[in-house]
Amino acid sequence: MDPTVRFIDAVLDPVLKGANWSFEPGTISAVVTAGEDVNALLVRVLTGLTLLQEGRVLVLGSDLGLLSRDGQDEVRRRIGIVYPDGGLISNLKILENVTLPLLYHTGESSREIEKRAIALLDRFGCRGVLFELPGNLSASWRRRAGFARAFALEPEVIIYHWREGGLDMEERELFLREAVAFHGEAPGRTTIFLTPHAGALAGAGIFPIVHLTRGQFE
Amino acid sequence: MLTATGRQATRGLLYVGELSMLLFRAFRESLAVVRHGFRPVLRVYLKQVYFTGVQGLPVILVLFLLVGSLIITQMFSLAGAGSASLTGKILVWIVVRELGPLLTAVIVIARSGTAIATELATMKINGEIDVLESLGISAMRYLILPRILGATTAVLVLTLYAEAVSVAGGFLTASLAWGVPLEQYNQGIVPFLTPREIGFSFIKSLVFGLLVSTVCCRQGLSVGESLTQVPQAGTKGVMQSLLLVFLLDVVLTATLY
Repeated sequence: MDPTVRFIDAVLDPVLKGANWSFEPGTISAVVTAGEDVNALLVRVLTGLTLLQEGRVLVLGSDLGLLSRDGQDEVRRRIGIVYPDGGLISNLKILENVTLPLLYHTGESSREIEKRAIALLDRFGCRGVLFELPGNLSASWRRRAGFARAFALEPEVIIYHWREGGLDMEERELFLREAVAFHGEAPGRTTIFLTPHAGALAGAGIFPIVHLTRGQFE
Repeated sequence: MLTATGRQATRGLLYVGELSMLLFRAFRESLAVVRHGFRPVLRVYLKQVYFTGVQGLPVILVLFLLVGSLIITQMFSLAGAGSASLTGKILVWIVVRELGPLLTAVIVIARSGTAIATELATMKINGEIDVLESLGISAMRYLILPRILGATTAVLVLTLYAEAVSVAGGFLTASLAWGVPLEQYNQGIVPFLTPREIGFSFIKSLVFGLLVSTVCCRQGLSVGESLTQVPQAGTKGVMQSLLLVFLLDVVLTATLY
C-alpha cells in the first residue's frame, strides 16, 4: 500500500532541507516541530498552497504542485485540517461554516447536509451556538467548530495543527478523544498531529513521534 | 516630467491589465461553477444582491426622487411650464443618459465598494482565503465571482429604479407646483425615452457595475499581512472606483452618443 503522505528530498528553506519521510495509511503520527510557524508552513506544503523549492511531497499519491486547479481541489477535499483557532470563515455562522464544504463538494440535499453538520457540531457540544458568528465566540468554541468542519467530509488524511494554549484539561481531553475516535472510524485513515512539543499529546495513546529538526525528519 | 508621465501611464496600463485579468479569471470560473460548488456560490451571490441592491434601494429612491424634482424645478424656472417637450427631453438626457448610471454607481461605491474591499482584505489578513483553498474551495469561484456578479446585477436594477423614480419625482413636482397634467408630462417624456436611450443606460450601468466590483475585489485581495492595510484597501477601492467610473463615463458618453 502506498504511503498517504510522502516527503521525498523535500527542500523549503529553512524548514525542510532534503527531508524524507512517509506517513503510512491507517497510522497516527505526531510531528514535533520548532514552533507554530513551522506547523503552519507544513500545513501549506501538505495542501499545496506553498510549493517546495526542491523535491516532492506526495499526498494521497499526488504531487499537488503538478495538478490542475480541479485536481488540487479534488485532493484537498480528501484532506482535513484542524486549525489551532478553528480557521473559520468570519462572515459565516457556525452551522454555515460546517455546511460550506459539504454544499460545495457533495450533491446531497441541503436538508441532509444540515442534519449531518448539526450532528457533527453536537459531537463537540456546539448545539447552542449554531447560529453565532465566529467573532462572537471564544477560541474554544471556534476550535470545536473547526473540528466539526474538518470531520465533515470524512477525510482520508487529517492533520491537526495542534495548540495546547488556551485549553483547559476537559477541552484538551475532549479534542484528543475525538481525534483518536475519528481516526478509528474509517479504516486506512491517516492522522498527523503537528505540535511544538510531544507532551501536548499526552494521554492520546501510543504512536510514533517524529521530530523535525535541522530540516530533517528523525 | 515626460519620464514621470510615462511611468504613470505605464502603471495605469498595468493596473487596467490586472483588473482585466481578475475579471477574466472570475468569469472563467463561472463555467466551473455550473458543475461544481453552485449552491454556496449562489448563496454568496444572493447575499451580495441583497446587500447592494435591496438595502441600497431606499437611498436610491429618495435621492432620485429629489433629483427628478430638482431638474423639473430648474427647467420650469428657466423655460416655463409650457415647454413640456424641451423639459422632457432634458430630463431624459440628464437622468437616463448621465445621472442614473453615474449616481447609482457612486452610491454603490460608497455603500458596497468599501464593504467588499474591507471584507476581502480582512479575510485575506486572517488567513481565511487560504483556509478556503485548503478546503478545496476556489476563492476566485466562491468569493470573487459572486461578488462581481451580485454587485453588477444590483447596479443594473438600481439604475432602472433610479431612472423611473426620477421621472416620477419630476411629474410630482410638475403636477403639484405647476399643475401640469400627466398627459402633457408624458408627451414631453415618452418620445425621448427610446429603446436606444434605455439600452445605452443599461450598457453604462453594466460597465460601471463590473468596474466597481472588480476594482474593490482587487483592492481587497491586494493587502499584505498588516491590519492597517484593511482601511487603506477600502479607501483605495473607493477612490480608484470613483476615478475610473467618471473616466469611463466620459469615454462611453463620447462613444455612444
